[in-house]
Amino acid sequence: MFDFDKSFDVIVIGGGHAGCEAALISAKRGAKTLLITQSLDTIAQMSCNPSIGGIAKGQIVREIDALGGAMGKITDIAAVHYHMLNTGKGEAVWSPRVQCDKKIYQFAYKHFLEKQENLHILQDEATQILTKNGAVDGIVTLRQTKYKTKAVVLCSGTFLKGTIHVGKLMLGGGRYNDNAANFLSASLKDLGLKIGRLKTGTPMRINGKTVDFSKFTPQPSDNPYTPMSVFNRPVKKDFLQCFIGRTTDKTAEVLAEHAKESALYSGNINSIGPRYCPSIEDKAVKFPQNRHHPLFLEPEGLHTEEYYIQGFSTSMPEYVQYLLLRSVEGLEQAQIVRPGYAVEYDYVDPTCLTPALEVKNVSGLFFAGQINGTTGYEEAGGQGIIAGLNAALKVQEVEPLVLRRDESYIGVLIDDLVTKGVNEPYRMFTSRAEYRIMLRTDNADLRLTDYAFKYSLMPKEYEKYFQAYKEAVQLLEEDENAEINENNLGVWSLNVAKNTAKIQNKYKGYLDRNIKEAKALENADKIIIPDGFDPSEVKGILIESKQKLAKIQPKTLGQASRIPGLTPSDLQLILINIERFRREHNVK
Amino acid sequence: MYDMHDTIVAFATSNGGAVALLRLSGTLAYKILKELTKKNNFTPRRATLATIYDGDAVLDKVLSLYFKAPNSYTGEDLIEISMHAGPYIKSRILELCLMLGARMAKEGEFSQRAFLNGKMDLVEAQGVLDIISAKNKAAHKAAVNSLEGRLSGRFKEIRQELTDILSQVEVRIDDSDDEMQPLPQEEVKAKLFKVEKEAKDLADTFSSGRLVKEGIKVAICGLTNAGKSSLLNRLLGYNRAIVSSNAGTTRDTVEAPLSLLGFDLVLIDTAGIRLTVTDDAEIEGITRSRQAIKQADITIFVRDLTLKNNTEENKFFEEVRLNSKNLITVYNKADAVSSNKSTEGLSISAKTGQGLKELEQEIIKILDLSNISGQDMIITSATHHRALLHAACELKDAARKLTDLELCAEHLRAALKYLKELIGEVTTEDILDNIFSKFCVGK
Repeated sequence: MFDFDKSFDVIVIGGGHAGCEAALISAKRGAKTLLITQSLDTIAQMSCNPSIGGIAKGQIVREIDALGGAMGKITDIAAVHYHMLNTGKGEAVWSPRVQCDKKIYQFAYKHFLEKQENLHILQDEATQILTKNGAVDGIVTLRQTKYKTKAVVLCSGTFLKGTIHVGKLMLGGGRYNDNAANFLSASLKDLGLKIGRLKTGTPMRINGKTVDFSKFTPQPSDNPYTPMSVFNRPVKKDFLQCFIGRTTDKTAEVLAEHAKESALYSGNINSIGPRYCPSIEDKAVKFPQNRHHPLFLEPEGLHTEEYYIQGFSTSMPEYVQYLLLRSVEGLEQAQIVRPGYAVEYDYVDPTCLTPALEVKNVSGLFFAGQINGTTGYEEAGGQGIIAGLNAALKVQEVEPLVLRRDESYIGVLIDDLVTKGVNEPYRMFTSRAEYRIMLRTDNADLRLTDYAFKYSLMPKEYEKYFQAYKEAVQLLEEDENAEINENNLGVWSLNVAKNTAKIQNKYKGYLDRNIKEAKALENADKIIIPDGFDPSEVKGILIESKQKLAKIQPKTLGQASRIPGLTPSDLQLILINIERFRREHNVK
Repeated sequence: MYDMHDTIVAFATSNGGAVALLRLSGTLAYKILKELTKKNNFTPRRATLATIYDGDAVLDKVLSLYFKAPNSYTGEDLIEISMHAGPYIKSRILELCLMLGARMAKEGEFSQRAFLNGKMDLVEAQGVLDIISAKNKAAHKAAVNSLEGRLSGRFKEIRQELTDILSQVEVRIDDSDDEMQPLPQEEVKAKLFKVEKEAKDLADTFSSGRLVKEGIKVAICGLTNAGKSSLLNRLLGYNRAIVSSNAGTTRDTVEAPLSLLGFDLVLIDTAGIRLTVTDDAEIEGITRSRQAIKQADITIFVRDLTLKNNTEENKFFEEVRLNSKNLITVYNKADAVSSNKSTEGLSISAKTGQGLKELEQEIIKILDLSNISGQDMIITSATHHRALLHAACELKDAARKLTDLELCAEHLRAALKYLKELIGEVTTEDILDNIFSKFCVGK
């Protein structure tokens, strides 16, 4: 065993979408950070679809951007196709989705990380988390090196004991042809954590040269387009096209005939996959009435003919995957370059976490991404930025940042995870947000960028621009012709301010109603459950409530109120007992 | 959501009694008092006579007390209003307070605030805790039991219908892959209209809702010449019915409104009953009388003290007894017989006014026991009534916004939130479960 001579503040394990955001923000916050990943060549790899954003997901990317994260900026660098979704509906639910060149995306991200101060990147695999007196002390790697650290952010994605399924074929791996991490789960179990299995899947990739595109409807990029990051302006770009087709009756027949051969229905996969984004065989079983499902051909990059087939996720044997392709008009001759597959992996029940994403019984251990039972690059990135920041803050002995449900989708996401747990891979939907009209893509910075300055995650000189921008939006709300000097806005844009002001006015009545409701929530969240006070021990609350409180260990009365099944009387009793506890123990 | 910054309201006195004490605590309490009384200045800690207005109409004359924070029982602005204890006035004033921004206080919540604001010590707080935990268990039991109830069945139906409609809207907002056809607007509109009507119908069953519209029906019946019309006039204080000693004078039912201690009554003078009638008009009148008796909330049967064990009267009394919801028997013409005659009911004299006060009290007693609201009416709480009306409004708005899905969803969510009080919360998971079970949702 080799003891590395330098100790770190924060070690981030895993270089996916959660790990990269976590490492960057931790380093930006000034913590000495190590990012450890199995392979530098797959850092920030887009393992599934070649796009960032989507409905509710695009909002999360904007929020990451507003907090000083990288996902939005990298997306703009790698973008080959922009599409604003939901434009047939109101601006409150508009969501950007951007097709990216996968290689440009991952290498641009790698470059960002390499340039970041305070950040050390290393190719190795973590095999053990070391603790001392219930707190993180270090990690051990596959190459038998010991690194000392005060905090760890674990972002293991689908790699913990990952198993790949193609029909009956089973291979170890976190991604096809990438090794699984087979040791770390045991270390987590030793720390007393509850581990479960989840499943997700990806469609086959085909060679575009073998596709008859004339049978598809082309979907060109929006042009002009809206950049993903507010810090970018539209530039002249080489766009690629996407293509829309549909499955046929023949597809349904193939699926019916070969259903039993899918890894999903052969008995090989027992873990739970998502009910949304189901594999094509799942769609056939669960929705037999819809026979024609839409398919999207999405280019994987500028320097490749590979296409991703959105909507065709499958774990059928390879020969059935060919039969499926042949059932689709235009794909009869399509050549598979990589088959679709399902992957099973270990996750940890996220109710073991505090709203800061720290493991309750292991001080300094933070989780982000699929290990918490989520799915999606954006959901991962959103957790990554919060876990990374909070790990750094922990080391610096600063209170963690916990975002509220009324100020961000990230807040909704984390609150749902730690308060309700998951029973399938968790994906964000706008329906999950109670304050949907408030949580828009156009106002992510108005909602969150003050935090970026509070925690020094953005250049200091931006602050005056941002204050001017906020004022500009307010003035424009009152008078759309208000005189604004764009020079004062710096990296913020006057056009965006005008647009935001217009949207705020359009939704005024609804926003007021949302804000009023959110106020009540905020008040309840301000009532902190003090350390040493165990709400599950309060006399008079229902037995079911006791069990839930013991498991979730809420941090605030607001969080307790969101635990399903707790009665108003339970909360009343807890509140009075908090006050009693405070008086008896003289705490404020 | 539990919130200790709301302004809370509740009666400090239980049902019954002539005077009720209403309490309001919180930042809005003083403002609500001012709006209720249309009066701008109250001196703290001084009992002030005031008039409570319902719009422009006078609801009641009351005695009010204003305690300014922190010098009050709860440590917040606290208002106490002593008022007449009629069920209608009581429920109406509660409704007005709710409309002005207060919410119903939970059990023990005034004391809880007193404790949280340092107005009560730990020992006293234990008493409050005991009350809440007892209620918690009882309410939980009641909730479990009422699951089988007829009423919760209807609430659940409404909730399911709304959940289905909201799911149809939400799935289209979250549909990234264009799996969904456009929203079938006419179909959804028809469904919304149906649920809106259901909510409204339920709201209309609210006792005061109905009583406000129609008044409490009090039928006066008895044999011809028993003095029904005289009693009506006596109660009204003016001559409404044609009074004549010619038997059978009142051939049609005569109605007259009467306000009794805040209750809106409709007195109905019915045609007298004779077993042998030949006059067609009189037969028609008697038929109407029988109908009026069946529809009345309270029936006053007027017996004639001067008649002794009259078979016709006994027979008719039996019929009325079987057909009325709340029966008061009075023995009229007490002035015409020796005073010590014992009767099982109330002796009155429509002529002199003897026993009238007692009769009025009988009526109030029946209203106070709320037998009236318990019989054919479903919604009994002002909060539920209000929730249903608000929900119905939201549904109407939702139907108007079918082309703006995100706004339509806001109204549907608001409707479900109002119904939370009646049927429990519909969480975002409930909606998503419903979506995933019905629709194919892509990435």
